[in-house]
Amino acid sequence: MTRTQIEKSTKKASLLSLHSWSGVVLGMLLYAVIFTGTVAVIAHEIGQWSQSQAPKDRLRHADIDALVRQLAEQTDPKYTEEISITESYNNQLVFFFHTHGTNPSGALDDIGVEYRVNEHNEVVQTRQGFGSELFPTDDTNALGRFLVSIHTELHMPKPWGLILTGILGLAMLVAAVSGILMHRHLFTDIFLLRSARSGEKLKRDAHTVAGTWSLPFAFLLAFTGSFFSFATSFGLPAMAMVAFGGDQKAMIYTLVGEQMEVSETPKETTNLNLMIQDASARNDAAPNNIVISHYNTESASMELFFLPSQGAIISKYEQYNAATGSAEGVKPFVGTEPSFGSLILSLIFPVHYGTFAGLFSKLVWVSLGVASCYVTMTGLQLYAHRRENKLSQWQWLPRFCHWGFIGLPLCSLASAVGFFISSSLGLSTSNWTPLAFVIAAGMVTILSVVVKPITTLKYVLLALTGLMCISLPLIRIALSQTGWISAVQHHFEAVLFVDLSLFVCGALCLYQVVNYLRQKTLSQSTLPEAV
Amino acid sequence: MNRFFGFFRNQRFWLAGPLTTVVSMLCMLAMAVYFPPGVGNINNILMPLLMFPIIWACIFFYAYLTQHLKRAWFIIFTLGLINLAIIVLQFTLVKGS
Repeated sequence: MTRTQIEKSTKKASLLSLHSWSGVVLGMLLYAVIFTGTVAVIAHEIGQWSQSQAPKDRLRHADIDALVRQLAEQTDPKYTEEISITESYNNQLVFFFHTHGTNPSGALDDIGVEYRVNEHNEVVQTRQGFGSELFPTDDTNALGRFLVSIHTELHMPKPWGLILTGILGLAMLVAAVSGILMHRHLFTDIFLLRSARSGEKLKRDAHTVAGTWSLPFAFLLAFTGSFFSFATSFGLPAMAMVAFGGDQKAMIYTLVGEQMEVSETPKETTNLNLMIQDASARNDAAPNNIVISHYNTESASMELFFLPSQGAIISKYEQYNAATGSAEGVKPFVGTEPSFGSLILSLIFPVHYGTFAGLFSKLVWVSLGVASCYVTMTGLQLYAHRRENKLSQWQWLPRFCHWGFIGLPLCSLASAVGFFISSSLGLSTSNWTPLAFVIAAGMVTILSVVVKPITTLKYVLLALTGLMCISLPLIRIALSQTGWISAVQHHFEAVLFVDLSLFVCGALCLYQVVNYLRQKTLSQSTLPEAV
Repeated sequence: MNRFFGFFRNQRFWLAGPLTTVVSMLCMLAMAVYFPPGVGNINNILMPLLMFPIIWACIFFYAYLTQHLKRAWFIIFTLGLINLAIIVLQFTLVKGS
């Protein structure tokens, strides 16, 4: 062997070791982040599905101008500095009249009054407080928010959860890059599944095939994900320290593109409905949210956020001078002037969330997310399998794999059951959704300890997951009375999509269980003959 | 215990682990000073943040795969020092003004 050959083989061994360890040390947490990330891609659809109410585009069709005027009259004038308006998943309009301040933990925050207005234009709920207290207790989106929060922060306190998910993003980046570097036959590996193989060898082939297909996806997601985590946890404050001498407010003004000089001279804001109609007509869609700044002053402005329209990739901010009613064009994603940084950032969002081609791109992202979950699972299982046969102290690892890999989807489904039951009983879904997850996690842990045969444990957990998948759409239909016919009539794709996905997943799980039971029965019946 | 924590005595662990993380953070922060801010005045904030995972990955793979550890220590340490000097200079200038 020449020196170059020795160096090459040492590097390959090092890369293989790095690839294995980046997966083994952080494998289970990485799986949790990838699995919940896959679910988070359709968080908007899950939000709509959980409320079973077809979107009515009220931000486009309701009399927003009259409602803002009416609510502004009964609100402390200091909170009219900024008014954000969104439509909740149960078709209520949510008006948050607020100003900016510092919350008890010392962080910059919004503080103000939130009004929820029903379809008859009646205020059904009024809450006052900091934005960081009000948004996490919004019961209408408790399920989607809970699942997304596992993905972004693993339910750990700030900023530690974000830092941990950032590290997991880097670990995924390491696994993806080392995977690319150590592949000698990257393209042939895409079709490496050899039918003659079985058991561990087949699993290794499947790991390589799924890993090779999802390599570009894993690389993109790891890069964008670690950017999101690190930028929000320590990146932005640290950059503010260097670029703005520690003035976070100045940095936010620069990034958000707010006016530094504001005139508080009173001037009646023009009819908001006209601006909304104009922007909606130009984008051929209802706005996703609206922000009105400095209402009833000379500096009044209005921003309408639109998700990517047909054929577009990037979301849009339409800006208006609300004092005169004139359109000021499309505002850059970040800052006041179009820039390269803003363009790149506006592309990162659709790439990470898979929103660049509607439900189709989301489906592709979900499929690749499932492939990445499979790669993480099989990687750790291969490692467990190899150790299980050699060392007695590694025997806990396969059990741990089943606990996590099947347990997490099962607990997520249980949190959805908790959401529906608490919602129907009039309890706080924000409390009961995570509580149902914790209860299910406790039960899965007990099962994992009590059920000794590892194969039995696997199929018990799979059977429970399958049953839960199939029962969830039935529970939803029973509690909401929004069936499939009604969903088709109202073009409510989210309900059909989530219900059908659950049925398919449930059927796949139960098929595996039935197959296992059939094989077990067959082997038992043939055993006496063999003896 | 030694079997599990033996990597603490490995030079490469300290080079590819803590030092790489600190140096890539210093690179990101120093870029806020010298990266062109552009018309929107935000490129020097956003681009370093976007590039942080790539900077980290480049330094990490170099530190992990190099056969010349001493040279790698020197290069990464010098890179860190240069970027630290840029940040210190920026703070001194801001205080002076």
